[in-house]
Amino acid sequence: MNILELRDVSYTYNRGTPFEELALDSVSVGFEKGKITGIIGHTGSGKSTLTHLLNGLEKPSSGDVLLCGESIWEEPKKIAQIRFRIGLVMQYPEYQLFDETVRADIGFGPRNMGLDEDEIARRVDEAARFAGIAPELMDKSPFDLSGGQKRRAAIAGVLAMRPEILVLDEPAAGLDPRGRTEILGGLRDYQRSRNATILLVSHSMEDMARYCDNIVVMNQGRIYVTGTVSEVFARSEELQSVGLNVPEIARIANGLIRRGIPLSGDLYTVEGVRRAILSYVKGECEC
Amino acid sequence: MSEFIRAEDLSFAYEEDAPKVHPALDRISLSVDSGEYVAVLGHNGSGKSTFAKLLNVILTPSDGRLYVDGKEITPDFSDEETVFDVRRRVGMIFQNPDNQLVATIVEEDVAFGPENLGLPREEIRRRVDMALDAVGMREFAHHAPHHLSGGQKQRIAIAGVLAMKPACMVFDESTAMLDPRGRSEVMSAIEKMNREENITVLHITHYMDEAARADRVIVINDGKIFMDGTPKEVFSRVDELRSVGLEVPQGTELLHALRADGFELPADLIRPDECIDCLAEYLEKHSKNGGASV
Repeated sequence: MNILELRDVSYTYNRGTPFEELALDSVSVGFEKGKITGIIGHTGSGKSTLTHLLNGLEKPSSGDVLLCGESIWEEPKKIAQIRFRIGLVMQYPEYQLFDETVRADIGFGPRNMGLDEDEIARRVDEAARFAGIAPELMDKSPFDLSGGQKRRAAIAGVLAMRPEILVLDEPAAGLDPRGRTEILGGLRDYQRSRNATILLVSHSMEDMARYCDNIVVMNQGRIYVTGTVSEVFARSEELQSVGLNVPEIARIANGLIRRGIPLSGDLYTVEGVRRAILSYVKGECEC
Repeated sequence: MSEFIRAEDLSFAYEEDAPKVHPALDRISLSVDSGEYVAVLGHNGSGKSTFAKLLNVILTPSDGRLYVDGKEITPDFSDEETVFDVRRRVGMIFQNPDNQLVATIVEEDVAFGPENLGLPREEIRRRVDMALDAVGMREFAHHAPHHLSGGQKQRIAIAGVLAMKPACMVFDESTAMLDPRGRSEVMSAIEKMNREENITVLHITHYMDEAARADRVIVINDGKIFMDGTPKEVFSRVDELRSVGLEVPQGTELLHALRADGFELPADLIRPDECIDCLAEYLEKHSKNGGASV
């Protein structure tokens, strides 16, 4: 079931000026409930514009955004309620930290929802846990944290609103491998424990293969391809033609298949290819 | 080959670090020759960028000695002319190309550096054309930089540094924000400069597949040198790298996992094509023998 859907959405920046630019061109796409969907595409393909439309930060120039089948713009005055349900984490969210302590900063969202203090405290602690923020950091100023810790605090601020849908634009950009794993793993834990839906924009094909169920590929303001991770990464040449790629491990698996080693299954993660090779060898033994 | 960078017991502490146990850089010693292509790895906060900033005199050492292109960078290195000299020899490219572009037309942006060197007009023209050619962006000379893709913008930033004719270029996570094509464009530009212009390259990155392409990999951890060797030497030490929060290229990781499953595979293969060759050969041999020994 699609919890969130764009129906024939177009978006033009600077409409009616000489700088008019069509960023999204008749986009129709649905996002499945309880899944992690990756959004990939070259720079300027419309990914970030798409994320802004999804939680009502921008209004489509034409077309509609549907949450559980109903337009989010049905009653424009209620758009704030929609934004509590669809959380958006923009690129470099650490620049948006502002409060005196990490705890207060994470609590800003739930406080705006009008929750009581006990509930706010509960949500703040839970969000900090998912984002991997150590308890001793909670009473520090967010500006005294390292870059990676700031990023986590900013993500926790959105998690604390317990959104049903979480839209994240490059949440792991610029982090080292361990930082990437911890942040993306924490988001997956949140998604599983709350049966939430996650939409993840990233340039890392390896991360996409590891964490996503489905992938949406964008090219020049349009949807190029959608499907499961295996369906999309099976189209290696088409992806390259639009400036993307498949994970390095998938190129290795494809190379082995071309050399006459019949591998099958998940060939997009290291663990998947390892299992495929083991089952190939086992099959050979039994022959 | 002559030595371009030499650090002896080099330390650097940010002032606010004072009460902390270890400084950002803690008595590191190393030397980099002219024309070397070095990748620098390390987790966030390991001291990689601090090292890069010392080379360009954005920071000066707290302790120890640092020589760049034969000049010693001292803690009170403040003589404007010498600072200017070193900066002209060592160019830096940062993560976000948008922060490095200054003009509204590509060729004016590239000309910014040479103009500040006070060069004659014809020489500036020559250098701008040379630099744009080197990064494959000549046809965009009259475009507005903000309409280019991330990889194109980053190549304009590289051309701006190239036009200063540097001896060394430091890339501080310059591919982190780019899409796959942008990354591959920038990597090609970096490697071309190293190969054809013999420019010394220090490439700081979190992408292990990029580091695998360098001649040498230096791993910095908690302000100290943790490993220093060829990509094969460094990436074959999978468990040690993981212990400091790093990874290895996916092919190396696959072979590592299969070795744990009992396959007799080498530890020092890092490029995808060599991993494919080795695995294909191994699997063919074992299927012909009916899969014995695994």
